[in-house]
Formats: sequence, C-alpha cells, structure tokens
Amino acid sequence: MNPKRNNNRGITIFYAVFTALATVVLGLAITQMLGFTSRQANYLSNMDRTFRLAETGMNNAIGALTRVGFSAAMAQNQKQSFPADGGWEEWYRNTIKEITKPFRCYYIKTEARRERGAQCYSSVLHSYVETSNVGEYAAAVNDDCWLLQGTQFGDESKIYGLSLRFDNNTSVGRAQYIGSVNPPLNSKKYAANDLPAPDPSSSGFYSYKAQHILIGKHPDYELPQQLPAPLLLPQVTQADLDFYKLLAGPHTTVSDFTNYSAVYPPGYFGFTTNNAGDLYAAHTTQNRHHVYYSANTIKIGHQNDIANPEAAMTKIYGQVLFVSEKNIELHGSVVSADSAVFGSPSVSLPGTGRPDASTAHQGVFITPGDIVITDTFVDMTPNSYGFDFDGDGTVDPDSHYQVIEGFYIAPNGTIQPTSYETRAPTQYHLIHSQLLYFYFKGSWILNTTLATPDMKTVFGGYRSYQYMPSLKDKPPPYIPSLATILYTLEEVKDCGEVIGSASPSP
Amino acid sequence: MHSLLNKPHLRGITLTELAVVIAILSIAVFLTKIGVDFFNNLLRQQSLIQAQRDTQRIIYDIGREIRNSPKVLQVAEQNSNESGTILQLNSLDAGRWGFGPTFNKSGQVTNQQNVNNLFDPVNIGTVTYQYINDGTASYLKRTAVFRAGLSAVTNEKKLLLNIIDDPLQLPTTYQMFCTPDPYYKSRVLVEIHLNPPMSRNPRAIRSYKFEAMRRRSGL
Repeated sequence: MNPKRNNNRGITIFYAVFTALATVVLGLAITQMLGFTSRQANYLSNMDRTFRLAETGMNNAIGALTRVGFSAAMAQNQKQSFPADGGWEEWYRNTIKEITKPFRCYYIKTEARRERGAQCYSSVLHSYVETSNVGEYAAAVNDDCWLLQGTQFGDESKIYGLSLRFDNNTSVGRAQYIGSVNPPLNSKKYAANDLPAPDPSSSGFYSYKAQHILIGKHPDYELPQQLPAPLLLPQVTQADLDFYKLLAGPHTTVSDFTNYSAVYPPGYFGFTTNNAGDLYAAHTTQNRHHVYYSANTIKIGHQNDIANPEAAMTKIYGQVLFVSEKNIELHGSVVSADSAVFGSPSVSLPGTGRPDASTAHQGVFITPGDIVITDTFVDMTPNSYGFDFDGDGTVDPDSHYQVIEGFYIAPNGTIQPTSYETRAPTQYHLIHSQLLYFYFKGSWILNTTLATPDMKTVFGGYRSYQYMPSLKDKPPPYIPSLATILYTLEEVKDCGEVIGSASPSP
Repeated sequence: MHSLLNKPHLRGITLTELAVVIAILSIAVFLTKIGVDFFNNLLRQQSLIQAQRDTQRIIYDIGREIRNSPKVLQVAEQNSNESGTILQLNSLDAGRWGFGPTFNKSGQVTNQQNVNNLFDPVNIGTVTYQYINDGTASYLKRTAVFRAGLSAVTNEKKLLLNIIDDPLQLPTTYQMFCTPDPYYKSRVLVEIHLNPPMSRNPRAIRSYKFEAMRRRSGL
C-alpha cells in the first residue's frame, strides 16, 4: 500500500467535497436571487394587469348603465373570461346597485382574477358613479369650445370643453373646462367678478349684458369651473352602432330624407297613413321605434324657397333618431315641428298615450363621422328687390336663413360647413360675407369645433346659437348618459376571498 | 557523513515544495478573491434588486393612492435642492370603514353607518409624500393623517431610506418628481430617481416613472 497515494486521495476527496459544497451554496444563492426577482416582477405585473381587468369590468358596467339604463344593465352579461399567458383571467361584475346615502349614485363592484400556474392574483374595484343627461349640455367639445359674441345658451344649459373661450355678451348656466379659459378667471368681463349686476328686468341690464359673460343665474353668477378630470362624453363606437341598428329593427333602408318636408318616427302608435310631407313607406305602429339607421351617409333638408322659407324647412315630429355609420349631411333647414320659427305652435306628439311615446319634437343626429352642412341650401333666384350687392351688374339672391335645430352627436368629428365659393355663378361668392345667416337651437357633442372653412366664414351674415331646454326636461330615448365617476377604491384581496370568481372558466 | 541538507533528495524536495506551496497559495488566494468578489457581486445585485423592487412597489402604491384619492391637494414641483418635492392628497379611510356598502338578500344596505363614515369629510385623511434629506439620511417620507375617534392619528414611514441619493451631490436631479400634466390636471406623473449606493457604479441613476390618471371626474 502506498501512503502517499492515500494522502492524495484524501486531498482529492476534500477538494471534491469543497467544490460540491461551494456549488450548492452558489446554486442556492443564485436560485434564491432569481426566484425572488422573478416573484416580485411577476407579482407587480400581474397585479397591475388585474387592476386593469377590474377597471375593464367597471367601464363595461358604466357603458351598460349609460347606454341601456339600470334595469337592462343588470340583465346583461356580467362576466368575461379569457385565456392568457398559459393561464386565464377574468373580470366579474359583482354588483350594480343604486344607493341614496350618503349621496345618490350607482355603486358598482367589479372583481378581477388572474391565474398563472399555481399563482393567483385578484383585486376588487368599488366605484361610485353618477349618471346624468348629456342633453343638459348645449355644447360639449373634446377640444377648444368658443362662445361667440351673442351666444345666449341661457341659465338652464351647460357647456364643456377642454379649454373655453368667451366673447362678451354670452350666457350659459354652467361652464366647465379642463385646461385653460379665456378670459382668465380674474377678468372683470365675468359677471361674477363685476357685481352687483343689474336686475335682468331693469333698463341697465341690456348694456351690462353686452359687456359681460353671464354664467349662472342672477344674482348668483359663477365663474367657469375647472374640472379635475375630463368628462366621459358619450362615444359612437361600433358597439354603439350595433346597438342602434338593433333598435332600428327594419328601419335601416332609407338614408336620403332630402325630399321629406316632415319626418315622423319610423313607428308610432296610431299610425294609419302617412302625414303630409312624410314619404317614409315602412312605418310601423310600434311606439318604441324611434331610430332610422343607415350604413350610408344620411341626408336631410333641402333647398331654401325664398318665397316661402318656412315651407322649405324639414320638420321633425316626435323624437326621431337618425344614426349613420358615415356622415350626416344637412342640405337645408331642419327644425322641430313646434319650433319658435313657426311661433311655437302646439303640435300633437306621435304615439301619445302609450308607453315609449315621444315626449317632445326633437331630431337627434348620431354619427361616428362629421355633421356636414352642404352648399345646396341657397336658392339662387334673384331677390325681388333687384339689389345688386356686389355691383357686378346682376341682381343678387336675397338673404337666406338656415335654421338647424336638434341634438347633434358627433363625438369623433365636427360640424363642417361647406364653402359656396366653389359654385358658379359668382353670386354665390358673396353669400358668405353678406347673405347667409345661421340659427342653431339645440345641443352638440363634438370632438372639435375646428373646421375649415369655419362657421364664421361660411355664415358670414350672422350666427345665433341657442340651447333647446326640452333636451334637458324631456330627453330623447336611447341617448347615452354622461357618466361621472365620483370615487373609486381598489381593494386587494386573496383569490379565495373574491366572491364572484368561484369557478374559473378558462 | 553527509549532512542532511547535503542529501540531494532532501534538497530537491525543499525547493520543489517551496515552489509548489507558493503556487498553491497563490492559486488559493486568487480563487478566494474570485469567490469573495463573486459573492460580493451577488449580494450587491441582490440588494440592488431589492431596492428596485421596493421602488417599484412604492411607485405602484403611490399610483394606487392617486387613483383612489378624492382630491389631489398639492403636487409641488421643486428642485430637490430645496428638499421640498411634495405630493399631497386626500384619502378615504377604507381600511377603517370598509370599501363600500354590503347588501342583504332584499337589496338593503347593511352597513350604512360605515358607508356614511367612509365619505364623511371629517374622516377623510391626508397622505403626504415628501422627499427628505435631514443631513444624516435621505428618504421618502409618507405621512398619513386620519381621524380616529376625536383625535387625529398620524402614521409616518420612511421609505427608500438612504437609497435616494443626496440631492446636494446631484443638484440638477429631482429625486422624487411629481408633476401634474400641464393640460390634464387629473394626471400625475411620479418619477423616482434611484441611486443605490451599493450599485457597482454609484453614479448610475435608475429612473422609475409612473403616470397615474385620477379616475374621479366631474364635480
């Protein structure tokens, strides 16, 4: 036996054991570190995703509430599950309840869960949401909103814009903005900063109003109000269009209403034969039918009749919704049947006395595109007084007053007037500066008011904007509400505690 | 008689063994240094990862508090030289009063008093995040003041202790930077610049950003 060899063997064993131990220690340290890192990264990213899921559930619930109302929202699908990253995830709408204390609102509880392998992540979102009638807004714009001189929306209306601009001699009930306001809030142009204001019935009020911006009601005038977050204006998404198409039922075939001088709801109780001026051939007696839907551009209104402009207006009887997948074109004056243009006559409402009957005469125009005012309104008949406004030796047409009433919802677009300057003869060219007047009464929800050419250029004669209070008091059917999130609270829970997600449905 | 040292065998062993011992010692020292460096790096990386994890978690928590807040009171954008960067917001005391109503089978609220208390203005607390450098330590200070019964209860925490670098050494860098979006007042950008002293490169700043959109809208 060789002792030297034994010694070497001992050393080798020692080194082997040492190396093995070192490897184990190193391996454990690295594994622990990597495992620790991986767990933390996974936790944060999964929790973030879970919150987003809960938020999706909340948005879904708010969408259902604002679109179809409380009862129908409760009946809609309450759960959605998806396979995701080797596991599954889901959100679940646990609760929609109307509560009255400590304030009146809808309480929405949505839960979300995400499972990946043996790991489970969950969270609960408690939301307190108020819904209101979007028709309370005379104008709501996701951009700059400018109240031009003379705009009298009155103290019953609201306006909203990311930024606001006011000219003198403007009035509105409440003005809300996010970014900036002009004039600045300390300006004496606001009636609220230049009190006491004269009583509206006094003789001095007229001159005071001409120099001021009136927000609110005498004597409690207000300043524009900066909101902490943008309003969630109604949208016209594909889902909304699908919803309106469903509501329209069979009334999806007509898109051209330019020859109509009267438009009634597509269905209403008591319908027997068409009224004068109403050319729609497929009326039903279903009171719930308020929607005309078209995949094409919807056209309405026709050329002015200078001899009898009132007769040339398209009158809307009852609450009629026009929903287009493309644009909506206004070819002439479109007014309510009981418009002040006609002296505010009392006109019976279609379907009266039965559920879902119209409660006002209102045209509602909904599009994912633009509201286009075409250049086909003006009648080129020379005026009867023989005036040659531009001195070119030819008699020019008379002044034209285009009246647009109703509720215009184009949250992705704008109101786009069309220039007459591309038309012949040249008499058209002076129309902009002298002869074309624009009277608006109603409400609009727009993405922007910036259009080229703008309203001021096309309707160079005069422009008047008023609010239609019936949109507030008697809101049209099927109009999405305006959602205001009062509070949300995120709660992190263990998966086992999440009530609604008892059974995963991958 | 030859002396022992004069034996060729023994003389040879001595020289060879000396060389071998020196070589072995050198290798041992070299390997030990590599091992120690390796472990140091490992520990450093672990500390760094922990610091990053803490920062991410804190930013995540701040974002959640912003989203849950009824009102952001103050977002002070100041240079860190002034040690005054502040985020201050109102907070509902959901931990104490619960997150919302519970209902019985007939749909009636069973915890109305708690819900009333949750939104009672006297129960709404204030949470403040502020960068502090008191000369001995730098940290993100979270102060939560809630009313409990008749008296206010203050809860203070020192977060990211000595991980946020001394602002005097980086006079142009914001350590905790909260800013409102210039256009949308509802957005708050929280940005933490972390400079962990255990990092391999002590001047390497790591930035963490979080943009929280306040959910609350309307009046």
